[in-house]
Amino acid sequence: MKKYVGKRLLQLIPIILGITLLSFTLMQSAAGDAVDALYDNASGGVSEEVKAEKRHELGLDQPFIIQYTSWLGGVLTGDMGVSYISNKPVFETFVSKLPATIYLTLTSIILTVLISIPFGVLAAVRHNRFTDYLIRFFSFIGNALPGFFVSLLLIYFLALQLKLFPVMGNGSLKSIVLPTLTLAIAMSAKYTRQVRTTVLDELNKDYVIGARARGIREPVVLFASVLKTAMLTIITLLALSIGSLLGGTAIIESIFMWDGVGKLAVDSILNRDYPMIQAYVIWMAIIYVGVNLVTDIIYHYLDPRIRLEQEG
Amino acid sequence: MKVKSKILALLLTTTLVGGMLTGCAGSTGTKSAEEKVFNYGTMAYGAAMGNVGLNPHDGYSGWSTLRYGVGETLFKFNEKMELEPWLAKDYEQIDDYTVKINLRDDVTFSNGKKMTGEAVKACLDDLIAVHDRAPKDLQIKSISADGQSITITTEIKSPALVNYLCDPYGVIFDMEAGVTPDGKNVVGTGPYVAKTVTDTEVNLEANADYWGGKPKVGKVNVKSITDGDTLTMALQSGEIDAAQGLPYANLELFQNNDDYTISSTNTSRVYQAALNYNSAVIKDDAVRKAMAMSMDKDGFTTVLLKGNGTPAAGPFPANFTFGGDAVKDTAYDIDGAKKVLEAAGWVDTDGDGIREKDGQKLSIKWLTYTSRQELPLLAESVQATYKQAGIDVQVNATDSYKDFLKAGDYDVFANAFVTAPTGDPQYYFTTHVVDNSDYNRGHYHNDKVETLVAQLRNEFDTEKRAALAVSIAQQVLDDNAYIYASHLKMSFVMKKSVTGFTAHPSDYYEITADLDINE
Amino acid sequence: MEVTERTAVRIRTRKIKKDQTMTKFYIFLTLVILLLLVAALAPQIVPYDPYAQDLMKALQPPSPEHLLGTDRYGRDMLSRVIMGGQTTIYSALLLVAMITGFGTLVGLFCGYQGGKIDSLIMRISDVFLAFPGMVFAIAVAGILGGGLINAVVALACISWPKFARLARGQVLAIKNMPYIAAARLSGSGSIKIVFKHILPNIIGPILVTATLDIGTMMMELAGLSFLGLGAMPPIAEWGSMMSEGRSMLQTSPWVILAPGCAIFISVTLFNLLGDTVRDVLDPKTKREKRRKNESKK
Repeated sequence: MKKYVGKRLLQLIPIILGITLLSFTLMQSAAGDAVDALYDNASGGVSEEVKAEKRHELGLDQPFIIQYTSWLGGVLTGDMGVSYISNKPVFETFVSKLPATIYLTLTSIILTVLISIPFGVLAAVRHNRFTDYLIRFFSFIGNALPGFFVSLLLIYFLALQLKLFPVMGNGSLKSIVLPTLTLAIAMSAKYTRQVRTTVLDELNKDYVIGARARGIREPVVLFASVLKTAMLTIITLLALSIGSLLGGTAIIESIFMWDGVGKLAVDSILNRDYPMIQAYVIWMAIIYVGVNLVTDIIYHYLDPRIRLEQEG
Repeated sequence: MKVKSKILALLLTTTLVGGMLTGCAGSTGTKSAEEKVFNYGTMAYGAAMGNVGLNPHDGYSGWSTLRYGVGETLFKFNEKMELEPWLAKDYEQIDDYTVKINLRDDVTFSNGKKMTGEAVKACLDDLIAVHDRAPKDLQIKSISADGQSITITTEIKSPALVNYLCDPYGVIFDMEAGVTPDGKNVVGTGPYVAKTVTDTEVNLEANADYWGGKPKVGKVNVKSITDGDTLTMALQSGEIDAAQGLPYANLELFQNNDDYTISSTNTSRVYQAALNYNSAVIKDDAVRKAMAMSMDKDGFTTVLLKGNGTPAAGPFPANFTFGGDAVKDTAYDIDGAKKVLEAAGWVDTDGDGIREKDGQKLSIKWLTYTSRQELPLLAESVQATYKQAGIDVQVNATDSYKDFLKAGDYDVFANAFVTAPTGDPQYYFTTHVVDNSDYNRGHYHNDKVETLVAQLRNEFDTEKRAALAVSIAQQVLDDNAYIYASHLKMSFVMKKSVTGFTAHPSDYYEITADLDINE
Repeated sequence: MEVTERTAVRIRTRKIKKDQTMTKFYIFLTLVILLLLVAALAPQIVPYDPYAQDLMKALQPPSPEHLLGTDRYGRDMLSRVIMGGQTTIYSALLLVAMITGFGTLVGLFCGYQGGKIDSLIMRISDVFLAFPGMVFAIAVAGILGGGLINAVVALACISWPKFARLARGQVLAIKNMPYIAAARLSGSGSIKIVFKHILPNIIGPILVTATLDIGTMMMELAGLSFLGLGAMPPIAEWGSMMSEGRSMLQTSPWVILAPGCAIFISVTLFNLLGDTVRDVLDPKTKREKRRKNESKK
């Protein structure tokens, strides 16, 4: 097991190298000049002379490969450089935004679980009856509305009309409700359907039919056998969602002024803040590999067949 | 199953009830100054603007120091963008290279220290030592202090030196106290003192010993809100008391609404189109003239900007002595434009609605960008009206427009520009209309303009400078080298109870000691 | 005797179920074709020129003259929604076709070939899968300029590995089946085996995923438009129409609701079609495979 995890962590290295090199190349050719962005966003114009000096100061006039290797060397010594825009260390800034994103990730996942598992199971149990259709109808709605539209509607109705929650994130318990709800609506819509499909599959399996034939009560069948087996799929799905949420949901965080990594990413991209974008890209790679690792371990644990395959 | 839904219901109810309870806290009534809190949401503060933090000597952070009442400059602008003394009493131009500034005697920094000539010298010395733009603007050779006065000697003749000192980087702060270790806070002379400064928020408290009188509001929280709709709804929900930078479409929610007041002003931010003389089509005088005649400035400002802008004749707005109607632009006249084009031989021969001449289609590439919401609107508006005149417009709205500029791949470049950040016309002309200037995107050249700008550089008399500015701007308009669409109208929307919070044409001054909340 | 009767009953019920599924399939297919037709014929059926501005008529609420009202340039919303259908649906289709085609080819190759090339390509696909889409889109917009086609290119670059993995997994599953071995023994070349024997057997789940992806991609394009990386003015495209109109939610809601409903209806239709296609193609095994492939996302 340890050997396996170690091997997976080693795999992280080429992926991170690959995606940083890719993003460095892309950002370089994109030519959106960080110095131009810095001065043009702020008011008033600046002479080209001043800009050239700033470029030199930031090392932007260096050839690409030198910029990349010097950055890489920095990363290896735990130094991700300084933000072009705020002049603050990238690593610190990035880490300071993580708690907000993690917080939002947790609340959204919990709410998603609370919605999608009961409703998914319910829809499966009431297969092809009214409840099923109703639940599926709502899941289609949640699936087919862009996140920014859902959040605007939620703000309009829940914050403005009913005055239940504040519009913006301000750290209070109440302010997390709307962003959580927006994220959970989209995710629950997807997962309710998944849970429904999984449970339906299980319900049609021979052991369930057998258990029923033996006269075991339906709730017992459902909880003791079906849900337990369906858990594998559900946990995998959740791990994946946690992964994508930890990457920060750029649009939602920006709309709700939620000061997490997603908003930071959008701001940095718009400002061509390369060091910050690189930190974000690395973070995404870590999440990607981490989530894959976790799901594999869970599989490993829950499904002996896979364990044998991998160790054999 | 049932247990689960019960837990869910319980959780939801708890959140809801919890929410309502905390929501009902806080009551109204007459408050003392200390108790009054002003929550201000703004689009203009943030890393994207390069103005986070309050250290005036760092990039554009001085804008925040000045706007949020932490620091002040030696001179300031009035509503007409004329110079007025602020921390200074007056100044004397000793010769073309030397100016003596006399300081007020009653100003203290918020830490109680007196603002002396030495303190101002120390601050300005640091400014030209560390700031990126200031040294080139100011061209200071040396500064000497004597009691409550300082004398500045410049490298070159610098008629606009005192104007430049109004730039937010000229905020005077206590260099002995210096900048806080995080690089974000300073000790200024303003009505408010910053307690915490982050990338998204500035929390201020009144400076009880403010030299200009005690501020009326105890606490001010400035919040960066970068999404226009969030900003709108935060104001509607009462989370903030005032907002800067609302989307135009949302302003009408607050107009004719008794619960809100709007304070608007014209700024010198102009939306302009530079016509590229390097393009064969644009070089044709008739084409430029027709283009100037076919821009519907009124429709653009009244309908698309919903009245949040004023049609521009020239580069400077009407509140400047040398702006507004001082120059005359071409009137909107599609039929006239058609005649001009026809007379010049541009005729639609193949019946596709677009004119041709010598087999060349009258099609222009309109380069612009999207980070200013007005620019794509202008591009689309022009696209429609130019088509009526028989001119095809290919819009290229991209945030990597710099590449296209470098490649010269455009006929028109439309952008937004603050034409007179220091209240003086020289800056715009030296950057836009003379040979090889930084922003002469149209490669415009006119001998007469060159001579006039040279005169402007050496003219110290304010009235004569204004007269020169008018002649230059008029010549540029007569050549149809630039088309000026509109000036930005900047608005603050606030709850009715807020007073003393006014939009200023310079865009420099927001929170002052006058700010008050009367509930 | 009894046994055969029971089997007959079972077969009959299965047949009824299958008939129901087929009916559903035909209904949704018809609706989708209708949608595609409307989109294809958009320039012919729009009541007004979707690009003709009339500032005097800006932001009019829905009326008999303009069924869905007008936008802030005074353009007819109904015409723009219909015209936008063409842009939106066909760019989503183009995108899905690109990633399905390319991804499947790569997956077939890797799965069949195996070895070092396979693991190299899979590492590359890891890089693309782990790459934040937004960063990619902004970079593409920077290199190629903004615009819908470039947004499609950006999304295609980071979405193909999904299909490559799906196809590869399927190939691995059937590669060692007897009939493939038989084909090889009978002297068929690799290309013939891949395209004649493997591809037809794995195309089902790929088609299902592709259909379900159309809706997802429409939403992704809308998200990019929200960030200003999508369609350029004055092109009518649902996502950019929505993000452009979002600040008018309170003052002129029709400007955002019309394209919003259009997105909703078409995404739902494509999802429903995808679901039924899956049911038509042997529900059970396909479903499991799909789940596995989704867990790889």
